[in-house]
Amino acid sequence: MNALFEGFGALLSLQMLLCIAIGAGIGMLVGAFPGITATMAVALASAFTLTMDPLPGLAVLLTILIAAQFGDRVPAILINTPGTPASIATTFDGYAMAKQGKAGIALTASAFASAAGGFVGIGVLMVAAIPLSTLAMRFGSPEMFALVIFGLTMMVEVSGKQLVKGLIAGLFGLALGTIGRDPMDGSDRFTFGIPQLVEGVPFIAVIIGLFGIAEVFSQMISRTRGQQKPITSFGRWWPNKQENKQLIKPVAVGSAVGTVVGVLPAVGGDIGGIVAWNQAKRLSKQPEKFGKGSLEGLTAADSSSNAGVGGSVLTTLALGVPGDSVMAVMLGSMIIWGIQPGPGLFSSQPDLVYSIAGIMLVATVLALGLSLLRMRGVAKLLELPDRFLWTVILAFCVVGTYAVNNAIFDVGVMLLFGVLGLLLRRYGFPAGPIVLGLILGPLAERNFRRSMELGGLETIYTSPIAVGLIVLGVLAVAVPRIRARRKARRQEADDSDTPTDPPVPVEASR
Amino acid sequence: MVSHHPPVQGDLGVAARWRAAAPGVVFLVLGTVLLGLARSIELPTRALAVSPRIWPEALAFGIIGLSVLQIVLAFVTTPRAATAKTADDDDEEGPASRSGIVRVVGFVAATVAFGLLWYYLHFLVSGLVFVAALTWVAGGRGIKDLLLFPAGVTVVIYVLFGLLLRVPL
Amino acid sequence: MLRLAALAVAGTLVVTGCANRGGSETASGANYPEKDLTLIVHAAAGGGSDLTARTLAKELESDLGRSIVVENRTGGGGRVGLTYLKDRPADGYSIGFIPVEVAMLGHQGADIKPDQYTILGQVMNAPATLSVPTNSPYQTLDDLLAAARKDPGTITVSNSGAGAIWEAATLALGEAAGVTFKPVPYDGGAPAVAAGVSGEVQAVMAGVSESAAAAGNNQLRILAVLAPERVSSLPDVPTGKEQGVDVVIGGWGLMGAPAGLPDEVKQRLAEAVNKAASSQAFKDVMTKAGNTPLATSPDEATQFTQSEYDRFGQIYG
Repeated sequence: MNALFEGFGALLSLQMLLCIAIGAGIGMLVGAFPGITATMAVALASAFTLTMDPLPGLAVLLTILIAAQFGDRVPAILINTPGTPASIATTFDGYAMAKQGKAGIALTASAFASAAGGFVGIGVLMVAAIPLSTLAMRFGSPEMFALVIFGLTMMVEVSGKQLVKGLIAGLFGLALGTIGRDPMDGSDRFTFGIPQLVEGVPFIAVIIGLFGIAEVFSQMISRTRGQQKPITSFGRWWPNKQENKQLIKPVAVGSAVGTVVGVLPAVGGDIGGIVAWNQAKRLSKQPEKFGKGSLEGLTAADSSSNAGVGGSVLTTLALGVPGDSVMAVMLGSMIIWGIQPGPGLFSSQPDLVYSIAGIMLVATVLALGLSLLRMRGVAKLLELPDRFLWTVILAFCVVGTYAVNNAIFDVGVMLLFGVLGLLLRRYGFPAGPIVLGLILGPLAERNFRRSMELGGLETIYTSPIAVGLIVLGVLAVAVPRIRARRKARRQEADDSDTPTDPPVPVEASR
Repeated sequence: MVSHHPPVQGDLGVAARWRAAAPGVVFLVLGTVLLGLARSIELPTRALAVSPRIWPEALAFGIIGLSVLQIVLAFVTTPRAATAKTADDDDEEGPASRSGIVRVVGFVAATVAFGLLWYYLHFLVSGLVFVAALTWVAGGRGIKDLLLFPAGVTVVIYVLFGLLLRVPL
Repeated sequence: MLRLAALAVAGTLVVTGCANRGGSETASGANYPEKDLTLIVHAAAGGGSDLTARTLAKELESDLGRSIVVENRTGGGGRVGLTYLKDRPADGYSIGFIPVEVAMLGHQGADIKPDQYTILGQVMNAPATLSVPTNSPYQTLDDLLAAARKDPGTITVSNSGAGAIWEAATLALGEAAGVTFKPVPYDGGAPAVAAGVSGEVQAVMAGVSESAAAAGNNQLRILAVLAPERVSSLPDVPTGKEQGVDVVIGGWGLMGAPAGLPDEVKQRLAEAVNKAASSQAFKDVMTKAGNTPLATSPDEATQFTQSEYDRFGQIYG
């Protein structure tokens, strides 16, 4: 308890609060602009914070990371463009809600869910770091492969009725993921001599193209002058009692999934959000609404990606192994500051751990407050006439994409995928599985082939975690379908001549 | 996000069925190309547990199989699919208008032109021209639309990215 | 500030083209530098190379009296940044951090060779270390080599990625000792070390900075450092040579510019680089990060780079 007091007490200075405030401002801003990721902002800021003392420096960096994962929800919900990869899953339901005139509720609920997820992650960091980090250590290549396979089952869920098209899109994404240096022998694969492709297709450019640019193009192509805009009103801003109650389950699912995924080394909030969305859909009473403006889907995804922050900080501090790419940058700074993350940190400097948790708590509260205050102003942007709105979105996406690698090449990729995304959606192919394939494909291949190098298939089927995850994945896809089919058959037998029979979603998914 | 377009609308003429099958054909071609590329991956000199060709090949077969299925489905689906659509559908995407296509092409062309222009001119100049061109394509006219608004956007981007984030614009 | 100046003359730029990007005035040695410099880094902001470059840039700024803008041109495992640097005008206003990849990529199919650059001096070394999990039966390098000799190709050694320097180090060590290891590439240095900590692999080849942290937590046991002499952050770890395997390999960093830099400019820059790399501030940051700071002359560094280039030709040949 003493360490808790000391740790939190260290935050009670004007300088610390100022650092957190600055971090929150920067974080919200970079989060809201597509292209600039939290990783990039933290990396740039770390050049400045290195000259500061460790605690204020960490306050700036951690707060940027946390606030960015509040700011990035805004473009995801309002213009279908994830501000950072962590909000990919936010677009699935957030934008659909906005189009239904529920942008206000979506933004508010998203902010609260993000905060709730954040608190859970931080709580776990404070009480269960050491046991959870041993779990993380048991995730080797075979287990990661199984986890990725489990994540890939989401392609089935996100495709909805268009199962065949969804799976084609997913495989297309996986195929895109094969571009780049072969992970095992290091030779160039499908790069056609283009150096920018050696490390793979620039995936932030692909996301911005498929989601944001394709959405702008799609509005442009079908809208005739004077027609209604897709988002005409924001509706209510505060969820009502019934909606609040409805949120408990998805936020709980999201926070749990997010913390666990965050704890695993080298997996970030983007995957956490996607996996949580998937799980919440499976556990929901109204899975058919997911992807079409489900408040549950939105909040599950958002709580998860923010719970992941606590999880990845935990892994970084308890193991000295970065929980994701942002933490890799932060780990570098910590070493320069003379902080030695690892199992020893929790026994030798418990107050520092509590200080870090305290910074994260304050940052989350502050970011939540900023989101709630500021959102209406940002939302006003959408009231711009089309010609300005489209132009602003495209111009910012162009520059934001360029800024990721300072490369015009990435802008070209973004444009290409914007056009491709437009064509695909007009033919009924969902974009979600493509992005999922592109993110998870390389992970699947690497971990599979690495497992083969380390000891063949045996490494997979002798690992209880890996087998468990794969079985779980198969069951999760199969069971609801079998059950729904059985139910549909029974219903058909019962009242086959009722014409008002609601369409059963599973019927069409073959 | 998961938007879909009715695969086949109204009458199920041969033309409509082909239209529904067309993306399947495109992906079939893509899958075949991928298979060819995968087969031509050079095998490494160092012994590996599994061939580097296996993963891309498996994906290629998957794409080929599913796109064949997609083509077949386009020809055998019953009109039920078309009627069921109206029951609970989410976002109807309006038909593409001619002026809409022109706008999209204009945006793409303007962005490509900007990429080239940017190489020679400073961002504050090329960006201004770019944003003005976009606004014009989107239907903006007059000094306010074509000069003041682009100038504002360009300066905001420049300050945010160029000066604050130190992106080499 | 270059950009503010550019803002002021934006109008004329329409006619003349922008100095920032395309052409440039010829540098005259006497007044050099007349404007701000750009320092190109091949790796993302926040990493080890970026840290080295930014620390050095700060020292260079005070010596040259001009601002130095660090530009990260990432991608292609260093190819994008190195190609970009090579194609910049050789006027002294574009300098770059040149990593060990300059000696490797040419043998991996890229058009990159040391003679495409004017090398100004070497600034740091990041020697390779070979470690095993703490519960490993292998206590010394000899134990591990004996095991590899007994069952060739079964001792798994993790590294940061296929084609990266630590994989090459594994191959080089095996060659020097006459044994065959099984290199297993991971997705970065940290995951490679984590694989060693969890015992998924039998050994880890990684830089000092990565393995020293894990060793400090008693998660890894470092068997050897592949440097010419022991490194200050690991005083108790013997070198490979001490244990009978004479191999020196690891990452390193140079400062350089495109080939064909005018002599006076080269001299001025080389002096500045040498002074910056010898500064206490730079040495402190490097040592804390687990690297060895260095300040060699342009000639030494050029020779060194060429010999490394030849050596990697043999490893990959």
